[in-house]
Amino acid sequence: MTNTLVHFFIVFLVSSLSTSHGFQSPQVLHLMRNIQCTKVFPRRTYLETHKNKSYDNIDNFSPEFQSKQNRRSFMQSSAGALLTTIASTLSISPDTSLAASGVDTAIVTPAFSKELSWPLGKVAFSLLPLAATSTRRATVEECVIENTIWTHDQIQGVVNVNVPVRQIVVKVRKVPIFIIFISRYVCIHLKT
Amino acid sequence: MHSSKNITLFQQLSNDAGGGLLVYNPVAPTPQLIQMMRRLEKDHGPVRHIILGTVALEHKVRIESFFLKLLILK
Repeated sequence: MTNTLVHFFIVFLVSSLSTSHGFQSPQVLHLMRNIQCTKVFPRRTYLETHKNKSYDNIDNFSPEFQSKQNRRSFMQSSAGALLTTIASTLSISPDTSLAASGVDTAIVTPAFSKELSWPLGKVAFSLLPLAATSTRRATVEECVIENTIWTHDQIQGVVNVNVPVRQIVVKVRKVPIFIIFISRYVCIHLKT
Repeated sequence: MHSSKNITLFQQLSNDAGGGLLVYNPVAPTPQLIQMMRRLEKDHGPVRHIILGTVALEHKVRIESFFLKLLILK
């Protein structure tokens, strides 16, 4: 009975400890942090923008003048709102080019360049909509052990299931035989 | 996850016995990645071995272009 209780306690403790950050390695978390740089600006309704406007000035009651005044005030307020959004976006993040063009709701994606493309993927997976074939495929380099092991991560996936793919680069010393433990099942001996 | 593993190993043969790099499960050779690999090669010697540790198609497709771009089209 005590054994089972202790076992249960240990299992509970370990699981509660390990669920704090999931089972993702810091490299993957770093990659995810790099990828998720989207920013959504809140959409403002017309009523919200004109909440503070006072309507008790009814000196000029002719409908023509009123319509003109309304149009002018609307244009002025919208221009002011646009200027404030531009100023705020410039002060917060200078790389949000979409938001600076006056769009209220914008999902900003990082720039796509030829450096991040792999055109062969289009040919190989022309029928399957694999991610990072026509979109950007950025690489994250990380040094795990200094001057010995490096990792390179990329994203690949189908539609909305994207997974990081990792390449490991190991520096081979002047040792005749070296051993790599790839997983807990496989062990390779290589002769240089 | 994987019950069995077929492992493909490319080895670049050379006469000089020096240190080099080993690449396990290469990713797609974008120009950015090739730049990174060239930087590593400059500091730590050329790529000597490439290991493909999976039989999945989406991983197999990348190895050929990686091999060509890194080792042959220098």
